[in-house]
Amino acid sequence: MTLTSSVWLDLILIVSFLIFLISTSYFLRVYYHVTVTDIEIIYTSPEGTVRDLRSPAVFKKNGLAASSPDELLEDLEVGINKYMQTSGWYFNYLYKIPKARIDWTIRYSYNSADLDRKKVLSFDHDSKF
Amino acid sequence: MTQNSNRGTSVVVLRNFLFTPLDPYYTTILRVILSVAVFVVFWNISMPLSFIRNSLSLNGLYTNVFFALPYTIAVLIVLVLFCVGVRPRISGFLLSVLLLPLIFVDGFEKSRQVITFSILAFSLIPSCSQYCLIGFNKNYGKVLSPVWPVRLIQIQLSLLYLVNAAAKTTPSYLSGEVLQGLSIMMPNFLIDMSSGYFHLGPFQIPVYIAAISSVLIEYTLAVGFWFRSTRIPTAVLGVVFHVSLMYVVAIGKLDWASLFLYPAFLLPLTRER
Repeated sequence: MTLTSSVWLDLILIVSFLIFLISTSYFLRVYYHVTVTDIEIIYTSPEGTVRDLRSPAVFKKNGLAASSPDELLEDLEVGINKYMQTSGWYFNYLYKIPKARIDWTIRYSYNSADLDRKKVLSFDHDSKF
Repeated sequence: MTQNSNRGTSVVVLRNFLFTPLDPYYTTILRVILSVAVFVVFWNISMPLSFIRNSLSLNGLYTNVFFALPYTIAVLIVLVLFCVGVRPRISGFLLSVLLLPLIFVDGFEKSRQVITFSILAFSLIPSCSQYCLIGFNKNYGKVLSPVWPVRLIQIQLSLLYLVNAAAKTTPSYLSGEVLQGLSIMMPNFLIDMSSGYFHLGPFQIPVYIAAISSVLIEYTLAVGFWFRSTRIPTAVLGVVFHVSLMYVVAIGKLDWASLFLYPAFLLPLTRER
């Protein structure tokens, strides 16, 4: 009993479907890795005084954390750029006050809570978005 | 002589595995279950994945075609036709084609991938090998179909568990570090395991035990359905596993998609059982 005119044709179909299944099963993995991040934001005034800005809650938990550091950092960078513009931080802290600076320090680690790697995003009066 | 006899036995086993006739009655039940799965898994989708959002033409296509009301109505009509069994081979194939672009929508895309492939595999079964629920085609259920399209659905379920178990068989996952990190970072994790413990009522279970258990369960679910004697216990384990997971992490529809495929193993689909 076959679906097509011959057993061989059926077998070719089965093998083709199996190859497709196996090659796409790669995309079915969930929650097998994580990128843990912690964000610190430092504002430096033109006089050199430094103060912490509170990290917005939106960056504390990230749905992309169950992915690689590259993907998560890319997403964070986009989010941070957007936040700098929409929250008024750029306008109030940097555009109005030349020579001031805001540094976003993202500490992160892959598959551990060590936070042993770091990326810094700096913004100042001349920052382009 | 022995070699020939072994080869002969293997051929018989393979032939039984792939070409045993499907029971039209239970095939029809599986079709209805898959239709419900489509409805559950594809319900309430809205935003395409970022690579589509970033492309102007693709984004336009999704906004103006795939998310438009006429497309939704077309999917629903074809789904109903497939469910009741009006030319289920054609309607099933058409349904899988219509569902294909909807896989690439944000959130739960894995569950949609699983169900779409299941519909595609099911649509290989000839229409005349199933029953039509509204009974206007008397030829339906008269010709038998081989079981191998259903085997593809079964293999997919096992692969789903196997790739997940294999991906988690790493020192960092088995030590519990990944689970801890996920519970800190992911908004859909409902339990905080940052202390290194998994709180279950009055008990505190070290998170590495939870990690190792989940991996072992996934390996069991990948294998256990294939043996008649372990099929029911495996299904029970699977249901308990997925229901428990719903209290730990809201992975949403992948739980449901997996459970909807259990009948592919549990129904007496072949006639020779």
